[in-house]
Amino acid sequence: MNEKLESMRLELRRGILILAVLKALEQEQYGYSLRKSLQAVDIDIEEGTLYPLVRRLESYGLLDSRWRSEEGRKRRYYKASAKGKETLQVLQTDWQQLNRSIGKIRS
Amino acid sequence: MNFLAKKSPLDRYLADVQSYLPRKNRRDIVDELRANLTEKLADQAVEPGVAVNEESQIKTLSEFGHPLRVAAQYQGEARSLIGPTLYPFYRVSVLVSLAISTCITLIVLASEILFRVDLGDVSRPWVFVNTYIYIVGVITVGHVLTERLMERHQYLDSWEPNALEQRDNALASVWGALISCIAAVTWLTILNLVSIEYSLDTFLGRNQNPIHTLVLWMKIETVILIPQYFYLVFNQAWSKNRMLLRIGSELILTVGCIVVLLSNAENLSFNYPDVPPELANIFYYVMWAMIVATSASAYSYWRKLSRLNLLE
Repeated sequence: MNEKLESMRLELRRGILILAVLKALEQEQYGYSLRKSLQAVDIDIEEGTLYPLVRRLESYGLLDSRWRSEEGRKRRYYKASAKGKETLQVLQTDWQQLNRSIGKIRS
Repeated sequence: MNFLAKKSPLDRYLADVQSYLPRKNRRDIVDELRANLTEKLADQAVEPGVAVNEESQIKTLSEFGHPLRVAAQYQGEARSLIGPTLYPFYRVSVLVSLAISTCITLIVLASEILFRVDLGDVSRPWVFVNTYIYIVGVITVGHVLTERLMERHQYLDSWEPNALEQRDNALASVWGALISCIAAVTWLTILNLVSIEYSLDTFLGRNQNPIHTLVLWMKIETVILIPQYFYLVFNQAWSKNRMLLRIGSELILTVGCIVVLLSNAENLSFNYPDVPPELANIFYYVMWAMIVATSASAYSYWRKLSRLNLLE
């Protein structure tokens, strides 16, 4: 049962993850800093899942990216594109709507 | 440069990930992974600027995941040869086709044992093993192609609920057509147990073997049927021409059976001297039964044609 529960939790979090990543990338960040900023708000996601997801979102045109050297290190920075910001708005609205709906079910 | 210098666990890990990545942008992905992992390792260093030891690297990489799993995450949209929509049909097709093939195997083996019929190559076990592999291969390729065609034509997205309610004699069933298509391909595969050379000789009149003659006509009918079924998968409405083609296909086999019956009745015994006369008689009765069945089928399609007013 624990395994099934874990798989359900993972599925639930996976859907929300895109929303969280787009939201976090309203500010320009590189992969590892993004991971840390998500961790700081208790969204713990495996790096092996996060980094490919970020690239996928970039391939959808939701993120812009560029390589930049900072503190003597070469990093790839990502930021939500105009399309990404629009998508974020839609996802946020949906998320709030879902939250309200779940709340109604409870009450 | 010392090529024998021992690479760090990080280098070895990234090289492994790279080998599983798509060629197109593997360099870029690995560069980014290296940058992120280096950041993480630097973060874990006890003292800033001091490289972490090998043990810590190994621990970090273990947490990151197996190279194969990491590379898989970069493969983009999940893609399978046969998706969940078609899989139930794939499973049924393979099971049914193998069951049919097994029945034929058993009949052939029983004929050999009970009637001491020497059917040559046909009875050799390896031929049947080959047939099983061939059948599974053909069905798999068929489903893979169907999967891609359905995806390209967005077939499952463009369906109309009304079409389901209007189902009548004028429309064939999509799944029926699909299964018929698969069954026909399987049947053709089984018929190909009789070498194409025999069929060619029969076609050129150099071979009077009644079984080879029958198989030739069956092959012709099946080859004509397959594109018809395939077309029905995408367009289910019967038209006059398609119905006439279907009738024609049935009659091809009727003609084939008549040709077998008209050929010298001694041919079966001549080609298979071990076949007892009773079994030869059964073969000719089967021919008559097939003539009746195929004619009845052609007639039923003709009736359907008139009932749907397609003759006007």
